[in-house]
This record gives sequence, C-alpha cells and structure tokens, in this order.
Amino acid sequence: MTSTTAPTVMEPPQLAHATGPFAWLRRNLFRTIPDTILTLVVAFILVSLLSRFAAWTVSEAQWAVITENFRVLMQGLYPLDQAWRVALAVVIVLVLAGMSLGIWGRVVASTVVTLLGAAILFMIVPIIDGAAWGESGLGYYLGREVLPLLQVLRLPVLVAMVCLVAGYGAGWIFSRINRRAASRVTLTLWLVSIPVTFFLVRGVGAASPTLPLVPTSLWGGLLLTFMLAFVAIVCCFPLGILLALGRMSGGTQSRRVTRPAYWWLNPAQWPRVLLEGWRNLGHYPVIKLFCVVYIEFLRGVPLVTVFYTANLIVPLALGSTEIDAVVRAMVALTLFEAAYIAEIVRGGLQAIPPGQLEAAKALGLGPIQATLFITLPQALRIVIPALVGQFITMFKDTSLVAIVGLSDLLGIAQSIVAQKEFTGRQREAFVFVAIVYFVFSYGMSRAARQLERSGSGRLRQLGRG
Amino acid sequence: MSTSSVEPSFSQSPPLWRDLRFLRAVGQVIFLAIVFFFLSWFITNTQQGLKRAGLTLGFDFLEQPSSFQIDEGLTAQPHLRTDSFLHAFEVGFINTLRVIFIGLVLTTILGLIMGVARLSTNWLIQHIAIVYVEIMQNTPLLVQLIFLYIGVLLTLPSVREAVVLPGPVYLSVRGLATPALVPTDKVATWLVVVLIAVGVGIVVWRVRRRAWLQTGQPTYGAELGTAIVVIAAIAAWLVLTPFVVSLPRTVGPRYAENEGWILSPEFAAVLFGLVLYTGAFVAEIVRAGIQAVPIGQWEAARAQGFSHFQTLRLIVLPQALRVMIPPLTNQYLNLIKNSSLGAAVGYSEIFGVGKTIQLQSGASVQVIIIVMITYLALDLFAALIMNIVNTRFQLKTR
Repeated sequence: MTSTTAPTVMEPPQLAHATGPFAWLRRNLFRTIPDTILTLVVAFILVSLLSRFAAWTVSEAQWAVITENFRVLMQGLYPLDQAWRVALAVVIVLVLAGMSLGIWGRVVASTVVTLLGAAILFMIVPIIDGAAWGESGLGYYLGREVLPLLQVLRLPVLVAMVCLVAGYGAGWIFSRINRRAASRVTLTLWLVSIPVTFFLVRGVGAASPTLPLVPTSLWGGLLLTFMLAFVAIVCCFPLGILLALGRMSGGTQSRRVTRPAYWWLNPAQWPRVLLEGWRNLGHYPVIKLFCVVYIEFLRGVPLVTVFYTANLIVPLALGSTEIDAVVRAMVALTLFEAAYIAEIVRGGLQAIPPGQLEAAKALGLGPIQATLFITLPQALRIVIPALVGQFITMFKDTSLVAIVGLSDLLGIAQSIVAQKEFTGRQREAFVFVAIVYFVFSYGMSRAARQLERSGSGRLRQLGRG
Repeated sequence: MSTSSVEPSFSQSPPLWRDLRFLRAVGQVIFLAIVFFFLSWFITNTQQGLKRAGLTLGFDFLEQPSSFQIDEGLTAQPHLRTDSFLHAFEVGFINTLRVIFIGLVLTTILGLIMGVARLSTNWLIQHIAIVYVEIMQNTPLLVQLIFLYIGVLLTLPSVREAVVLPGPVYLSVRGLATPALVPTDKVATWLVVVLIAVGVGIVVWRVRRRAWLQTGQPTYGAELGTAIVVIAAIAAWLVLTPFVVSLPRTVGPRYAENEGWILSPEFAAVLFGLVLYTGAFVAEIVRAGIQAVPIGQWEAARAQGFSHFQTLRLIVLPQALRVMIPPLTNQYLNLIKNSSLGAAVGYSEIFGVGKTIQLQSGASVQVIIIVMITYLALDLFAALIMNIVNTRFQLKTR
C-alpha cells in the first residue's frame, strides 16, 4: 500500500527495513505527529458513525419489507407460472459470463474469497434455526429479521454461484484444448443469447403453448432494469459506431483559415465563413453535420428530458398506434446512449495512426473495407475499457425510468414504501436497492479493470496472441 | 473540394455513375431526403395529435396565471398562484442555477480533498477515500438522492427537537439552518477597499518579485502582497462592518424567517446528493492527474532544492491540471445535467417546474423545448468557460 507520492515524505530511518505489525502501524498510521493526530480524529469519527450504523442494521432495521416483496422487487408482475423463463434466461447469461471469465479472465484472490464467503454464508444459513437463538435480544432480532432475508436470497445466490463456477470450469477446459475456438464459440454464443433471452422472457406469441407472450407492461423490478440495460447496450453499440463513422467521414484534416478579426460583427463576412465551415466538413458535409448535431444535442440535454419526450410527445406523434411505455423507454435510452458511445468510438478512431489507413489504401482496400477490417477493429480494441465504463453508466441510468413512472427496481421500491404497511421502512428498501446496484456495477467495473490490465485494450504485440 | 488536388484529373472525365463526387452528392441527397421525410412526418403527426387533444403549439400560454405556487427560491414566496407560467420558469431556472453554482464549488473542494486523500500515505485516510469513491461510483445517483431525501433528511426530528450542532446549525425535518452573513449597506464600500488592496498587493508583489529575480536576494514579495490584502480587508471590516452574522432561531414548529440561512430538505438533498456523487468522480480525476505527473518530476524538483509546497505549486499541479481539465469539464457538465434529477425529490428546479407546468397547461411540446434549450444553453456556457480555461493551461508548443 505504498503510495506514489511517497518520495516526498521522509521515511524515518529506523523504519526503512522494519517489519511486523507494529512497524506497519507506525508506517501507515502514525508516521508523523500530524499524521497521528489526523488518524486519531478520523478514527474517532469513523467509529462513532459506524457504531450508529451497526446499531441500526442489527437492532432497528426490519428486513421483512424485502422478504415479503422479494418477488415483486425481482420480477415485477411477471406471471408466477412463467417465472422459470426468467430464471432460465439468468442461468444462460451467468453460465456465459462464467465461460468468458474462464477463457479471458484471471482469477483474483479477493474475488474468490468474496464468492466463497457468500456461498458458505448462504449454505450455512438454513441450518441455523432462528428460534434456537431466541433467548438474547440480539439473537432474537437476528433470527426474526435478518435470517428470513438471507433465506430468501439463499437459492438465487447459490444457483448463481453454481452457474458461474460451472461456466468457468467449462471455459477453462475449453480454452486449454483450443483457445481460439473457445473464444469464437463463446462470442457466437453471446450473440445468439441476446435474441434467445429476449424472446424467452418476452415470449413468441399469445397462442404459443410453451412461451406465451408476456407483455412488457408486466415486466418490473430487477428484470425490467436488466432488460432495459441489455436491450439498450446491444442496440446503442452499432448505432454509436455508425454515428462515430459519420462524424469522422470525409477526412479529419480541416484547413487552417485565418479569419479577419471580429468577423462576426461584419455581416458581409458571414457567407464566406459559413462556406469555409461547410468545406471543412469534408466530402460528406450533410452526413457529418447531421451526426455532429445529433451527438452534441443529445450530449447536451439530461436523460430525464429524453425519457420525458418519449413518454409525452412520441404518443402524440404516433397517434392511435399504441407502443407501450417500456419499449419507448428502451428506444429513448438507446438513442441517448448512442451519442455517448459515438464519442468514445470516435476517440478510438482518432487514436489510430494515419499510416494504417494509408497502408490499407496502398494495398488496394476500398474505404469500406479499410474501415471494417483495418481501423474499426483496432479502434474498438483501444476503447474497450471506456465502453465498459459507459455500459456501467447505462445500467445505473436505467433507474431514471422511475421518474417517468415505470416500475423498475427503484420504482417498485418506491411504490412498496408508499404502501401503508411498510411506512417507515424506506431505509431498508433503498439500502437493498443500492446494494443490488452496487453488486452488479462493482462486479462489472472489476471485470473491466481486469480486462484493462490483461492488455486487451493495447494493440497486439509481436509474439503475443 | 479541399482534397481535389489529391485526386488525379483525367482529360476524359469518368461516366457519371462512376464519378465519386456525383455518387457522394446523390448519397447525401438521399440521406437528406430520408431525414427530412421522417422529420416532417413526425412533426405533422404531432400537430395532428395535438389538434386531436385540443392543444395548440403557440407560446401564448406563458402569460397566463399558473395557479400553482412554488415555495423554493431566493425569497420565502418566490412564485404565487397568480404569477404567470413564464415567472414559474424563471423561478425554476434560478433554483437550478443556485444548486449548480454551490454544487460546482463544493464538488471541486470535496473532489480535491478526496483525490489527495486517495494518494495519502496514511492507510486509514486512503481507504476511507477508496470506499467512498467505490460506493458513490457504483450506485445510481437517483437512488442516492432518494435515500438521502426520504431515508435521511425526512426522518430527522421536528424543529422542536432539532439536532443542534455547534455553530449553531439546526438539523430537522424542515431542513438545515446555518448562520449566515447578511450584507449591510456598507458592503459596496468594503468591496471597493478590498479591490484597491488587491491591486496594491499585486503591484507590490510584482515589484518585489522583479527585484528578487534581478538580485537573487529573497524579497518576500508574495508574503508582503498577501499581508497587505489581508490587513486591509480586516481593518476595513472592523471599521465598516459590511456583513452582520445572522444566527438561525427556532420559533415553535418552524425556523424564524429571514434569520440565518435555511436550506429546505429538498435543496439539501439535491445539493449534497450531487456533491457527494460528482465528488467521487472528481476525486478519481484528481488522483489520475497527480499520478500522471512522472515521479521523476518530484525527484528532480527535490534535487533542485524546491520545498514540498513549491514542488506541488510550481512543478506538479500545473502539469496535473493540464491532464485534469478535459475530464473535469465532463464532470461539471454531468453535474449540470444531473441537477434535473432534483425533480425526483420535489426540488423546484426547471425540469420539475416544467413537469408541473405541463400538467397545468397541457403544453407538453413547448415545455420540453424550453427545458431542453435551457440545459443546452447552460452546458454550452459551461463548456465555453472550461475551454477558455483549458487553452490557458495547455502546453504552448511552437
């Protein structure tokens, strides 16, 4: 845990090579006198805050609001007899995630410890009988309030662990046999899984016996959050690439123009400057201008206003042909995030040295071939970390649909605490929602960091796969 | 065309269907036609839909009385039921500006502190910063805002049993009340005195600095200049008393009006929610900026005899700022856009006011146009300022 600013701070000489817990404490907490004072003050504040929080979680919080509404929080009003379809979709995605980790990822010790700890905790939970602790106040509280919550979470967590581990094992073995084929197959499976899971959850038609249609108005809770994020991520990516290419079209070199000072005060100069601006747009001025306006407009307005437009104005425009609110939110989120993806992809395209395109031209590749096979793959490889970061943002952004009245995870939580029987249980509900978001966002960001470190973002080097 | 010199010119021009310029033009005309067709279809459909619903597209409704009132603003009753819709928009805009201005300042301070704490050699401080950044970055802002509002601020005791922090700062379900500085009529005179002192201080600093650079003898120019400003400001303060401290007071179940600075729970939720959330991102930018300065810069500065503070001020920060400003601009713009989430906790900023106006007047298209243009203008303005700052800090090369 040595910091990079260390060279500016003198190490006390007797500490330079000392080891052991005391030396660690001295070096990291009580290095100098001001440092010691700071540590003590901060530790005091921290302990007082944490003890209050612990007192709340262990003796005041009543988690029944979560256990009683667990299914609504997870699936909304999705019909109970069809719930296996959602479960199957989750299993498919988890196994694929495990496979990807087995092929491309490295196992970090802290992740293993966390996963193992969770698995053991949830395996032990049902063995403990809440009534057995009933004597003391704390035991009574734990048995009555915390245990049911853990029991509700038990099956999902254990299934998730099993799926991840099974997928990991499969991916690991497969990649040992044939790494290239394993990558290909997994990527293809991901692509196939997108429509499969979508139609699995949505159904194929009202008359279908096995997969009857479940209208999106019945989706809710975490399911809706995930479907919104999933569809938007899948759809905004190609759209964003198209927008980025449109913005980069017709060459990037703009001519340096020296304009007369204060030209905007002289109306006679306006046509000339406008013409110069038009020429600087390159070979495809109309397309480029459209992309620039689209990207800059959507990046300049808040997402809520876009949702609001989709909710109020699109129904007016479409008149009688009713599209339900979930689809409208999906389209709005896709169009909005495409602008951000476009800017990220553009950053990658600009980082490609011009020699690549020139070499492609020299080899006789046309502009479309050169883009598809030379510049775009390299650009996407560079921006993978930024893209994953944007996907995490999108996942968090789906919570904004609660403002326009959809019942995603946050919306459901809000409507639950609005019920009379759960008044006063707001903290529990929102803490639970925050933890769910945190688990998935943090997991994704950890994976992204690993990806960054493993070098997928770098250009390929000689001698490395 | 700008690159016409690159393309070889043949004596016989190619047939039209193989002429690249012609094909480009045709493609773009088709594209334009599609966009135009889609837009016109959308607009006419919207107009018909509005007509069906019996609504118009004009902006005349802005003059009508709004028949709702807003309690949030610079004064106690900023918007009455009889005031116009336009006035409601103005009040909402002012509320947006309030939260943005205070939020930007506090975010920068918090981000700086947390970013430096993230690099601290003190294990405890460093890990507090890490945990803070991870929690804030990995949960949605809306969840944080709603938790802060419903889960924390609205569960505070009533004013009668308010939590009193030293200051006095009152914390209750009616919001936060802190001491405030109320300007008196002497404030203009005091400001003039301070400005003159700043001018004198700068002149003194420059003169002494030149002497220092010429002779090499320490002249304490910066210290002298600062001392002049501080002494002048304090002396003038004592003579003129430009501000009086107004302490908050509780009167029965509410705070006394116009005493102290009273933050409504909605304003406090939006402000602190935005600051805590954006501060985490700024902290990461600050950390990355400082880490981007090669460690050799620190070592070289030490070798040249710079003190720690001088190294930071003259060597590291100018280089770190150069890396930090573009992503910082993005975060500032995010804060401006995210202030629209105030509507979710009942803060009357422009989007929330717009929603109410839409319900009252039915003018949904006009409202959304006004709100979007407001945010675009705010964003453009902020981006412009940050671009000017950016060009000043960038490396000047040939």
